[in-house]
Amino acid sequence: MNITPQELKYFADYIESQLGIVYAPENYYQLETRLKNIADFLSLPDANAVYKKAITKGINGTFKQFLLDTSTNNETSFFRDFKVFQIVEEKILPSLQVSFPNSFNYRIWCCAASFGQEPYSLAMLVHEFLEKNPKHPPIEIIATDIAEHALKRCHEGVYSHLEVQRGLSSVRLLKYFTKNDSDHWVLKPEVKNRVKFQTQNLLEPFAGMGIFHLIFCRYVLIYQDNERRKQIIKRLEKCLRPNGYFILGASESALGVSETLLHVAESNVVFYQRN
Amino acid sequence: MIKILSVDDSEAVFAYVKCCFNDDQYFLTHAICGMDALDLLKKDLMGFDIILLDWEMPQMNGPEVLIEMKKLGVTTPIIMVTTRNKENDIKLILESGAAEYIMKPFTADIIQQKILQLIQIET
Repeated sequence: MNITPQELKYFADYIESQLGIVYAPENYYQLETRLKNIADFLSLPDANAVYKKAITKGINGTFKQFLLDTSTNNETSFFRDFKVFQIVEEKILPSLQVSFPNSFNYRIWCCAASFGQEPYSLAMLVHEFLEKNPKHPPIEIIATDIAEHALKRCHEGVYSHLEVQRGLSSVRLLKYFTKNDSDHWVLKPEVKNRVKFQTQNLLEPFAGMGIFHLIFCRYVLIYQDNERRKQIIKRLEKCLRPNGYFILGASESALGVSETLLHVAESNVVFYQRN
Repeated sequence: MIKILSVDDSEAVFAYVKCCFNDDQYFLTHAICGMDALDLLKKDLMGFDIILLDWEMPQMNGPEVLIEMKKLGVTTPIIMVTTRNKENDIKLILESGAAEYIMKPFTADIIQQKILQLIQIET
């Protein structure tokens, strides 16, 4: 028996409530494929039988585990590509005062805030760095995103237990989060207050953004065509100080786009530095 | 190859863990209780790269097994995998010498990423 759109919506709503991942109706076919995989795993005949099991017996145990598991492809995480964050922690932050001797405060732009995992990962590193170096000038983090609903979640700083386990060590979980009554984890102010969020479409002028020492622009340009990608990189480069660092996602490249963005490879991580 | 010892009295949980490591990169061994796990480790203290340890088990629970493993001289990173998700539980286990803590339910990418991260830190 075929599963109906209303039945698929039941799972879409459940996944959104658990993971914050939104399945729009036009993507319900993906959900249906995933439910068929779950049917195989649970030895059920089809996706409709999975729905019947859910409404009669509830979604729990291994069933819940498998449903959440198959729904989380491409979800963002804290410290995504943690080697990149190692470079920030071990190389970039300690070198700021040497690379920019005339700066009295340092600025980081995170271009795709998404649900906040990336800017807050940076904020944790900055917090730890400033704890160790209390006389260091301030480091400001600006995080932007085009999506209002994403920024709303950033402002809340509240994450499900699956979200906080994705990329975040248990030591940092305990250090920077407290658990609330609804079993979610709430970011503490010492990290939350380090990030300023604002709306910014990367295709529109960067008016008022200012100049940065480090720009994180990861996993956004993959959604743009080649020409737009080049234009965005060139415009971001103008927001970088000389010697400023520019970091893209693992599958993205600025090679051939600009002569002033120098390609640097360290510990299997590629980043760029403006000359 | 990454050699994992999973200590869990639930066959269903172990079946799920097996699904998470269903490729040639991993070799999984199952111990159904703490005593079995300690016996395996006594035979070969360095036989595993990672130990996954359940909390709720009959006879010896996870924290007790963790203490015994530490007494035995186990230096392999130990990850507690449990439904308990209170801050004090996590604190207790980390202070007892576990390298990481995973709250159930978890997803395959979470457990894989935690293991890979611990192994990279170790090497």
